[in-house]
Amino acid sequence: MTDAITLTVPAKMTYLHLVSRFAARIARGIAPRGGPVDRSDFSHAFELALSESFTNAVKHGGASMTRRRIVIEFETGENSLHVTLKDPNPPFAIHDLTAPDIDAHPESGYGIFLLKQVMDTVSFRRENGCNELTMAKKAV
Amino acid sequence: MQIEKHTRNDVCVISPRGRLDAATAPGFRDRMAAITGTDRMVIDMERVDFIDSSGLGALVAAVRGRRQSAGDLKLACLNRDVRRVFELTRAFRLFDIFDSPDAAAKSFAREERT
Repeated sequence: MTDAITLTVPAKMTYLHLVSRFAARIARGIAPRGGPVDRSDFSHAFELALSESFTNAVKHGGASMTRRRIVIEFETGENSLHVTLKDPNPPFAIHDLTAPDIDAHPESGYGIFLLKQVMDTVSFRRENGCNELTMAKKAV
Repeated sequence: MQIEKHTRNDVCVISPRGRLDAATAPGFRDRMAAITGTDRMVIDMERVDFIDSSGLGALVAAVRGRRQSAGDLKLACLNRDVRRVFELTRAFRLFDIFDSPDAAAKSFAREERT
């Protein structure tokens, strides 16, 4: 059985904490206690992924985004969680991003890299004038 | 983000509290840049419960700043989630990380003797 939850949030950094903690709380309820994936790790993965993706969406929009809204759709499975983040920003070419040279320890550029590290799958598409970033992870 | 500051054996110990993310990192950077007159610094991370790439970037900038002025910045008490971000980004290779602020502060004295 799946549940669907949708958050519509102003594109402001003020809501970053709320969004990432919300994701962490939902994820924590999905990973089975004593299961093969640690509940705390599963929860942290989504907290980090939402922190990075929401931040990207707010920053990518710049000042013009402050009156716009970001839609975040959560779809829970028995042992998995899918999250889709939709923003009305100009097209964002996630596939063109180069991986950071982490051994050079740059001050920025880790966001998408971290997202891919902690999620099982990350996909991106442009649909109906919005960027759609979908992340998913299984707790088994 | 709340940040406490005190001095222990000529080492400036900074104790931030809360989340170090894109919402709080700019303020943290400003506070770190405003701390002058000391080359030896420890950040006690015990009460930092979450960090993302923006927070990590602020710490990288802080350690680079200290090292450029012939000083150093060391970290103490990373929780499990924060340590995970350091492992994923290999940031543990850039920082000296200790189990306590005392151990981090004492390491400056040991470096002086050698």
